[in-house]
Amino acid sequence: MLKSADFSNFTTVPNDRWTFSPAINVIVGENGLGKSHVLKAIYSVMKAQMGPPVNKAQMEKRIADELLETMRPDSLGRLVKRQPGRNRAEINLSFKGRDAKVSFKFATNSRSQVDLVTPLSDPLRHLRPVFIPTRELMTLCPWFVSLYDNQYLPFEKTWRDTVSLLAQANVRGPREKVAKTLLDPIEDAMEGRVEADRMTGRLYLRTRKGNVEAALVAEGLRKFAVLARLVSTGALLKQGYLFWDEPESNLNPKLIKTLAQIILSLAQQGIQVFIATHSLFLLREISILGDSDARYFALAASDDGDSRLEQGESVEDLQTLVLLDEELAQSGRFMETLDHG
Amino acid sequence: MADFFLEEGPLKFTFQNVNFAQKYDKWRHYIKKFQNAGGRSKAVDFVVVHGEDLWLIEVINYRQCPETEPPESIEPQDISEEVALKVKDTLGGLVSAAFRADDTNERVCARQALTCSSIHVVLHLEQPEHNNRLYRGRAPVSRLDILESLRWSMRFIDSNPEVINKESVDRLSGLQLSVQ
Repeated sequence: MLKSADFSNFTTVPNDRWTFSPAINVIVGENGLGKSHVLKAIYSVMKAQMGPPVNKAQMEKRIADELLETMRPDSLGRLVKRQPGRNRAEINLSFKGRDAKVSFKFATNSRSQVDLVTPLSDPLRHLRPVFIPTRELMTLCPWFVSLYDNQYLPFEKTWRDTVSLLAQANVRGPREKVAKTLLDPIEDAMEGRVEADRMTGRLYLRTRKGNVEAALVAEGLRKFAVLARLVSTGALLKQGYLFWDEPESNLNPKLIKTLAQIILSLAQQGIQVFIATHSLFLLREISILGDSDARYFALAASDDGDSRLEQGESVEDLQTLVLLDEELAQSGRFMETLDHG
Repeated sequence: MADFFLEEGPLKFTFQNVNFAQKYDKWRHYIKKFQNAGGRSKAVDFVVVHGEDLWLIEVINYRQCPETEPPESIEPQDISEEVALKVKDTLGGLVSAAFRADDTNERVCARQALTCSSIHVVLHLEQPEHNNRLYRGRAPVSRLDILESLRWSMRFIDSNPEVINKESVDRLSGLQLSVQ
């Protein structure tokens, strides 16, 4: 479980400590203040810890590679906060457990390697991070993985990582029963179940009316389909981490309500969830359903042009809720039309 | 204990069985001395004491008729900050009045208010009627939006502020109020 993250001079992310809930973490804020950067940076560091053990130099390269491929800057140094002169970014992640920390830094002129200050003593080999980007991935399965691996493509590596998880086989045995309890509400919402073609690996939504090709499934439901696959294959089942950037995109409020329930179910299974959202509706649903399990973070624009972090155990701890302010401002504009009518 | 009748624009408020209910922004002490203290101070509309409870009530009426009343100038997104400022200034004003008010009644009321054991903040929000489908079943300004916004801004004094209108005054527990 990730307890906290410290960012210093990293892109537009404020220099501060983020203290996380073991269950649900919700980040809100205007565009461009660093919400997605936080998710991607933490995901990249976790992803680098997966795989076979390596020495310090190899881990420094691995973290840098993950950051470069996930965030896609021209060079690593471009991820340092833009300020005059040379600067240095630092990220420190603290996990549950004694001395479970990873800390590294890199400078404006760093190209492809970080300076690992504190390596993680016990790698997260069994706790897989999963990243669901804003784009739907159902139609990319399975062909995107081989394309990405064989060509230089400027796509975020999160797409490749997550598509590769969709193509795996379903779990069996006791885990299958756990998966079913998580899958039921997703399949109810989709009015069908997701199946992978044994020959081609392509995904279909099997409904009462027959199989529907991924490209013909409604965009919003494709997100649910991806989630269903991740549960079926065991990528999101017990323990692990889920990073979900704007999960509400392409979903109507009815589905967002179901989405909030699913997020809570995943958290109750032991998966630590990190969400960046622009949806006041989703924020409220999570607050209604799982407030005791959640922590909330707001990135606010400060007067000096940087962003500022607000955080707490309740939405009421956040001073800056641009989503709410804008809804109220819209109410004001609507009332003006009544005055003039 | 007595009943008090107060008017705010076209709205008529009846507070039943309270120690007192006063239009605080019409107090001589506020107008003559406190309003311009340290720049400019604001005021809630009503100060009410019922037993051990102090009620600070602000009225915002978007339903006023422009021909007879000036329209509310405050934007919905600014309401919570405005109410917080008014509550903060009113609390300061009550302390000032308790010691420095020339009017005996104002001084006694202020002192009584300051002996209360709990404070409740209420926003009375009246809104125009409409038949827009996009706002079906609710007022233009969502009560939930205002309440969420107020909870943050009022947490320095009342973690559970209330937002009411004419139809929902019975939502208040601990204060008998009717509005026409």
